[in-house]
Amino acid sequence: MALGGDGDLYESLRMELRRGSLTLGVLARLRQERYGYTLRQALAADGLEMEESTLYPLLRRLESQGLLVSEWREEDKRNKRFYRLSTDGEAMLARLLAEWRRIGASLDKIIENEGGGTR
Amino acid sequence: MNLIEQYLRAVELLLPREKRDDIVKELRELILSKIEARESELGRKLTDDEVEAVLREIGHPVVVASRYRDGPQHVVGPTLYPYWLFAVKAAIAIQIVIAGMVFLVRALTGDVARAFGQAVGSAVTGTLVLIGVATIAAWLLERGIIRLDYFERWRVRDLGFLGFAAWDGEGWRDWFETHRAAAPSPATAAAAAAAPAAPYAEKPNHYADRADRRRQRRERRYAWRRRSVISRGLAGVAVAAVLLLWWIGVIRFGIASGPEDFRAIGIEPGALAAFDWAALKTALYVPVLAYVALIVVQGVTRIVHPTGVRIQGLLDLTVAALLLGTVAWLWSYSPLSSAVAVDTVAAFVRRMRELVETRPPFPLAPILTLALALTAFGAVIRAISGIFELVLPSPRLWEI
Repeated sequence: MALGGDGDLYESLRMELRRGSLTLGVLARLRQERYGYTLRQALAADGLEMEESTLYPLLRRLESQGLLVSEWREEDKRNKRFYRLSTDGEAMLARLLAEWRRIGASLDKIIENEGGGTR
Repeated sequence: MNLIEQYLRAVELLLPREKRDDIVKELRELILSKIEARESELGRKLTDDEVEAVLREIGHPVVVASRYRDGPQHVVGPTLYPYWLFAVKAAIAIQIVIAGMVFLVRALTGDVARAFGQAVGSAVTGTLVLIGVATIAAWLLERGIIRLDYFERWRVRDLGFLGFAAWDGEGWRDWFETHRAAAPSPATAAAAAAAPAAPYAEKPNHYADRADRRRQRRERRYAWRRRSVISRGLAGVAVAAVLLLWWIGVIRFGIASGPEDFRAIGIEPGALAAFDWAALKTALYVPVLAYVALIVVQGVTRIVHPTGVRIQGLLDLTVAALLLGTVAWLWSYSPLSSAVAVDTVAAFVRRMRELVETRPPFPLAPILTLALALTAFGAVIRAISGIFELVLPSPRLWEI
């Protein structure tokens, strides 16, 4: 592995950890219709910063997978693409959230059994 | 504004054609939203430098466009990479060995410097071609143009053959050590003894029992050979591919066939010194191509359809027929015929004795006679096993 140092290793592990959670965040946020730019702001306000070059392709992919629906609409004199969670997306989000909670609960249990980790 | 269009143009060129317009339209809108927000924050228009900073924040066009693309963004992915690396290592090793042998032969016949140059040249081009072929194969596999279900069907016993650990020096030694000693480890032997090997073993039948024991012995002896049908297919395809590339002249091993080359490796061409090998090669071009192609087809069929014993039988028969036809032609009608053919078994035996009893340089004609006879014999065996596979669609004994 050509990882420069601990910083890089941390960064790559962190990215791995984040990847799935970001999808979850995007899906959850799009229960309410938004367009790309405001979605990114909303996520940032929640503490989930996302690069544009990650978010926008992700939106398109989720749409092509049928989890989101989009619509071009005029707002503030410009055409914008609004995304919203589809019915399929809602079902998928519910399942993913259940899985997310299950993983969280398991990890909590493991960490407690190990004597609290950093606590 | 010009900056933004310039940026979008750069992204656009890197996007798949069918999605271009849509993505660029959306991206433009996002950039404008971002700039507007910044402008209302500052209460003034942004300078060009500030606009550029916004664009840089979004990312380099190559990065941005790559995120929008579907499908694999690599030639050789992480799963295939070890196999690819193995193929490349093997290619380099084969080329070095062949170039080394050709160099030795040529150096013995004279010009060492020229021989060295040729050896290096052919090794380098040959290696590059093989790496190219491996890469193209990987590219096709990554994109699902060729499908391998090997990763679903693999068997543990394949791993000794395709295991990459075995392909460094230490691995080779281990491989030889484990496989030379045909005796099974105590654990395997115990397992073999404990397992109800066949349903009829339960009957107190003397013959079945003995047959069973024989089968177990055979299984133990040939255990290392029992690779899955698929890995045999892969190996066949790999070897045939190298052969094919050589035959159509893409790879050169630097072997030419002139009388002095024969003498250099201890063979006396005799009356065949003046033989027109190039014409023979032309005459054999199609049969050899067909043979190699059949081997590839057989390998691919094994991989795609591992249980199709009848197809294998049919292919075995076809290959055997082709071989026998070619040998018959060489023996009876080709320009080589007068040199290689013998009329009676006695004459054949005399010829072989001649070959065994002479000291080097060996005469070429009897060597060719022997080679043809062996090829014909092999072809007959192949035809017989092909018929068996066709009639009794069960895998051959050693493949069970």
